[in-house]
Amino acid sequence: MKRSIQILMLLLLVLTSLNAGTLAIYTSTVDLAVLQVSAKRFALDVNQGGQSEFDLKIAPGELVSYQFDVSNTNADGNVSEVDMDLLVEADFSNIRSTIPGVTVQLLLFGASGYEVVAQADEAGRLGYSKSRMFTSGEAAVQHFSITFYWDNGESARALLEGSRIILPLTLYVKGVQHAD
Amino acid sequence: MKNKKLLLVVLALAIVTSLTAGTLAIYTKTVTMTGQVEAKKFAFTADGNIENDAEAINLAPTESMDYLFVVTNLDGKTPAEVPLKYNVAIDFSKASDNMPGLTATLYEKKTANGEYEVVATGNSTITYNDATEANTAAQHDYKLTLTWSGTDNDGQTVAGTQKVTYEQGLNVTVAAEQAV
Repeated sequence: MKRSIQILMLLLLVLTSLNAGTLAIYTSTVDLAVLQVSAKRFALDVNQGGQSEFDLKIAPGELVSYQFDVSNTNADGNVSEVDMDLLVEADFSNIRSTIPGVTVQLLLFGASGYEVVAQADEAGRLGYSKSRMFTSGEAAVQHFSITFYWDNGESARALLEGSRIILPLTLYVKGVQHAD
Repeated sequence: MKNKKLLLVVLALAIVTSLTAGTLAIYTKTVTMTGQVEAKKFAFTADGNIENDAEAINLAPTESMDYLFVVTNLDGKTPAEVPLKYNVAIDFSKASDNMPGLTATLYEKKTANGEYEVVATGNSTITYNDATEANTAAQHDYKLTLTWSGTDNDGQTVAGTQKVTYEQGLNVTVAAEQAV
């Protein structure tokens, strides 16, 4: 009995010492920085007009074009905060193989008006890239035109004897943050 | 019987008389010592700023920005009189949640060569501990570099297109306490 009382007293002593608090020490906390972190704005907008403008009809001897604008601003008018490279890519291989004699060119509006900057190769692939086409913080619009010219040659006349041909057309405009 | 009572009365009188009659004189001397109790000095400061006096961290993928800060045990030029241990807690988890690939590296300038050396890295939080000695002036220079890298182009493009912004995107807290 006495032993159990002793153990109980000892336990009480330990608990009391633990609960009695710790010694005070100097402390200091400095909230050094609460800073805003944000992603730089990346904006690329392509004004591609209505769908009817991109549904092209062409006959031998004709030149048809489709115009589109590329800018480094978003719909709210905010300018991209990064330099941007621009790539324009298209695969016209089905057009080249189905409608022989079609020449496809990409033109960019510059100081002297529209100038050819790329032409589809024999396989029908067209590619154009321009490093730092857009500068960070400077709103700009680049005007492009893609033209299709169908040469009025023997192959075109032979094709005319066939039925009407409708081919899909896809153009990729890609903006890439410029990285050195 | 009478003698015994008389003896007790006499004894009681003798005791009462000795208690009330005062004490015998003895030599005494009191020496008064005066001194002071002084709390040891506790000093701890922390201060910092973003590189180039920028007010916020604004990043595009592949870019980095530095937050420089200094921790001292000084009050003016007087060092703390107690040893300190301190903790640097860095939290940018809110920003990193939506800016995939955002990482932070904590550097400390080593006095031996004056160059910064990596002491900790993290992709959402960093905790780093260090200490200063008593009565020895100490200044610890740190550089926290936030870098937005990684390969998640889609996630980063979404963040840039949305221009994600976190007012409390980076929190740096420095807490010091007396080392005991």
